[in-house]
Amino acid sequence: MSTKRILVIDDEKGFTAMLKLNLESTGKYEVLVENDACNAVATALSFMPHLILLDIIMPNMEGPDVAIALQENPLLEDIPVVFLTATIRSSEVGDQGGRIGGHFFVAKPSSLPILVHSIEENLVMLN
Amino acid sequence: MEAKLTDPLRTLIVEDNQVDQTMLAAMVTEASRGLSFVQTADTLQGALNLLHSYEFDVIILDLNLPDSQGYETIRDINKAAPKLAIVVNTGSYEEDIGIQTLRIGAQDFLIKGKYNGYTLNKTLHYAVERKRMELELILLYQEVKESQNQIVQMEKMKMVGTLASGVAHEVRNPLATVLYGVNYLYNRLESDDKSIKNVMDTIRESAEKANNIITDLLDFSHIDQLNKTEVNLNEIVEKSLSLIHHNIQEKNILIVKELDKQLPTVIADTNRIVQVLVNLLMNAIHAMPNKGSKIIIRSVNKSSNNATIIEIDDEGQGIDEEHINKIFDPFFTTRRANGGVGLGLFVCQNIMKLHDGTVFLKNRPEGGARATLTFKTSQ
Ligand SMILES: Nc1ncnc2c1ncn2[C@@H]1O[C@H](COP(=O)(O)OP(=O)(O)OP(=O)(O)O)[C@@H](O)[C@H]1O
Ligand SMILES: [Mg+2]
Repeated sequence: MSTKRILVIDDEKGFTAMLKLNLESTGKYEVLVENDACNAVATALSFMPHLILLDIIMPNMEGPDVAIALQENPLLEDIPVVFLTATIRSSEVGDQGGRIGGHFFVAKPSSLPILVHSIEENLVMLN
Repeated sequence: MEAKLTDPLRTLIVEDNQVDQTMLAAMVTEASRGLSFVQTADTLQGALNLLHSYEFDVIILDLNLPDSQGYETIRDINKAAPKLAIVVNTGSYEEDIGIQTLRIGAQDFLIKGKYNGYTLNKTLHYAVERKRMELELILLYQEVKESQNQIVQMEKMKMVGTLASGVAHEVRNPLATVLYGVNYLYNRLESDDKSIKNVMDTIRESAEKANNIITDLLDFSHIDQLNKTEVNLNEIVEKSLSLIHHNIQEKNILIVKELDKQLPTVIADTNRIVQVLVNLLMNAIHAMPNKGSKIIIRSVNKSSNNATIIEIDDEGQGIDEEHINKIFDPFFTTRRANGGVGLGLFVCQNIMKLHDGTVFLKNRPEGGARATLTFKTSQ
């Protein structure tokens, strides 16, 4: 099985560095980090990821707006987006992460197995 | 029913001057064609005794009695019978005092020698009507005040919500960094060094605990979005008990239910009240280290106060006197070492406030603590 490309769009440098290390150590993924939401579309076009992990609250551009910009590009519209959110309540997604209004969410922090599970679930749906 | 000047009034005449007393009684009796219930007293104590035994509509009160002088007399009567209309009977040289008495609870005043049967009767009826309206106004004022308090409370909760989301974002990002960092190191660890693993476990547990506090805070900050319906509190009690069934069994706790079958309904958000009861029950369970202890959970209809009450009695160690004023403060806990965050009672209190109700905790004389929830019964 070939590795899948994951693009992480999140302004927290420390967090994204750790996330990249963890995801790549599973051997399943190649991870690229983009810390500036304004570059999201350009980076996505050059990297062409299989899946995007997108932070919701960022300084220059909010996650949902980034998601819309990605959607509007015909080359990127089919790439699944999983939101990372730090302000989620346990009652909203349980401990597992889940769907709110058609989008996938994973709590930040959630354990690595849960994160990987969400990624895999979204990659499967792609096929 | 419309009030009429000929309606009989239950009248208490308090006057130490026998001539005045007899005359007043005769006038009142005549004005109602003998239908009024009239009692007389010479002293404040005598008046208080009568107020204790009978109900009156109006009192004619001489301020200078052998056992009580001046405005204090009015205050004492008002305290003993808050719904009673008061007409002060003053000497002719005390006209200004008559006006003053209106400010401290009297509804009208008479000036000795300056009234006749007709004006006396009119004054008494006027006082009764005025008292009735005053009481109505007070009630209205309280209602306005209460809804105002609720609005203020809602606003506060909104602010807490905004604040909590901000804190969650700022704190969870570094926490996630710590957790993922430790996770990575853990997997890369080549040596079997127990002490390094211990350190990492401790770091991870601490970060997870901090994360749980954020979760509590976020959950709490959304409690203003209530979903109120007409509910039976007995059912909510059952539901709460079933949720903590496990904790109860584990400690072999005996649950005694004394639920009033005729309990009226209240307007409440079921899930939130379950949250309150679970918090209180868990506190009771935590307070009882001995296996086989007993918790009594009781529902009571206090129809005289339009209130429905839930009580939870435990047999635990009770609350330290020096803590009793702090237990509702956020983050106050005596169980820090055992995973207590100190938000339980704070959350309970806020939920009850949003329901226009209250929560109290006190030690029981027999030992252990009692938690009391008070709800307004729906009309
Ligand atoms: N039934 C009880 N008997 C004795 N002490 C109690 C009881 N209920 C509460 N307390 C005291 O009040 C404190 C605060 O209670 P509260 O429920 O707010 O927090 P906690 O139980 O310590 O933590 P948590 O946030 O997990 O509920 C407790 O730590 C305890 O000292
Ligand atoms: Mg508690």
